[in-house]
Amino acid sequence: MVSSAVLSFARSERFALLALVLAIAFPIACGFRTYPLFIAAQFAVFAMVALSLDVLMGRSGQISLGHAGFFALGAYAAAILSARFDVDLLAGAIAGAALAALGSLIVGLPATRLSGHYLGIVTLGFGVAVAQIALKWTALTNGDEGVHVRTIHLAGIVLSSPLHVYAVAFVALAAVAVFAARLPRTRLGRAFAAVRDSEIAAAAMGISVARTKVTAFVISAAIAGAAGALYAALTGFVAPEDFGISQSLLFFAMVVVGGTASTAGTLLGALVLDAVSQGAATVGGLSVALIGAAIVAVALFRPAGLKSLWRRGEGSR
Amino acid sequence: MVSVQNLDVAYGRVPALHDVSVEIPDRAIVAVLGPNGAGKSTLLKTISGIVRPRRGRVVADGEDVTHADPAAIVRRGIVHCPEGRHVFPEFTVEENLRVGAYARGDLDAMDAVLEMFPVLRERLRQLAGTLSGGEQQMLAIGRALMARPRVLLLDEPSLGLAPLLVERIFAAIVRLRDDGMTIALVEQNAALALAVADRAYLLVAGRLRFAGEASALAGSELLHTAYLGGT
Repeated sequence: MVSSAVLSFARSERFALLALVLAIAFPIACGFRTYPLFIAAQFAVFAMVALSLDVLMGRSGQISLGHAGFFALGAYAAAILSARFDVDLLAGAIAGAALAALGSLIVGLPATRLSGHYLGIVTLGFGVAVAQIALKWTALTNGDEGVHVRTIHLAGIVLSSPLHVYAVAFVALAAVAVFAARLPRTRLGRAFAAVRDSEIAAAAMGISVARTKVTAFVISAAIAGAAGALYAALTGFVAPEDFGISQSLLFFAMVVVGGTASTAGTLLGALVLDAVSQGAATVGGLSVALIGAAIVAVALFRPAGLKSLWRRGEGSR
Repeated sequence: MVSVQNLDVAYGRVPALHDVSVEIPDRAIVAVLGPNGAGKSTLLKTISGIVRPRRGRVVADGEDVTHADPAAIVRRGIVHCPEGRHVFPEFTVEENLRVGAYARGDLDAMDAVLEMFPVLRERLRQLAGTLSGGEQQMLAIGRALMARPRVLLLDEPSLGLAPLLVERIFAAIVRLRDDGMTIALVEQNAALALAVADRAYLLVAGRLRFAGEASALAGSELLHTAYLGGT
């Protein structure tokens, strides 16, 4: 057992090293062309949201079918602050994370009394509501015309090329991935898992079940909100159609396909599904159909997700 | 000293306890006996704040804790070891023990726990889900002890265990009492519980049928009629 723990540690180190090499090699391999860098940076942003969702779903056992709502709050906060006050990307990301965290209380507080399907419905409704507000509150959001971001700058440096945004996105993704991977071995992560596995035992240990559930929502939403701010910086423009139900389902599918409670699995799921949705983007409706097919295929053949390709003994979850 | 006064508890419309009063004196083992569905586990859950009563009070050391939340009750030194073990299967033994110390934030009790259950020391890095039933029960008790309780609420520690393991766990319970701990022990195995208990209560269908010295209940007809369905 001790030796297998050492092995898995070495494996996660190898995984991190491989990911780092790929992230550095990619811009060179694609000749620093704009479009591939944009697509890769967008992957990094979506993967951050998927990891944030896995913190909620995999680690604390709560479902969210509306994560695009938190993503949207972060994106709009950063875009509007940039458009109106020309704020720095870091400040925008902090504001976006804060707004999303605030929004998470709207669903996180009922979550202390709901679980399973009911929580799924509440979060789904939240995601739809945020997209509708973005559409209808035209004074703030310009409705379906969207918000254009002004120049993007970070700590005084203007991020003028796609390579800059690419670098920022992957550094942010790495930070989130390290947080997500280390979380289970922290006191907070143990509280999450305790609440997930047995609310009675968690309460008996003196863990406040309600506070722990809300904390998971706040952390997850804050990460998704920060990712939203990066998304605004990346695309230079945010509009309601980027944050609909299908976007929420894409994030959900990334976690389920990759495998819950697994950082590497979620990253792989994000990569596969982002590729699928990009590849099918030109045909209307095809992307959603393929995402659905991917979920069905995983449910049938790999119920624990892609993580079961390298993790044993987890076939049932 | 924990005292439960005139407790009424219901799950929705289904009554679970009616007018139940129980005294748990310091440094004693108090057995709560009764057939399945009598409300024994509900009584412990009410004391630990997991279930809210309709009526009545829970008083610990003279203070009303009826509406305190479970975390606050753990910090007061009243720790519940729930029925069915509820160990965290994907945590190692050591991580389970660390969660037990969640409310304290220190691991001072670790050595004593591992000394009491040496098998846990051998399995510290093993996933709890891979332990045998008896080992999981020891882990569940050890995890509760990590919070260094003054009052331990122990629900069905013998459930599904081989006789030899049951003996070992009851020896541990007696030792904890002799070291000054107060223990409320819910058991289906009445003979076993009465052999170690100082005081005993008999619950039948949510109502108290006996309260007094454990030895008095041991020789009583009440016990037989309760378990065989009489009233």
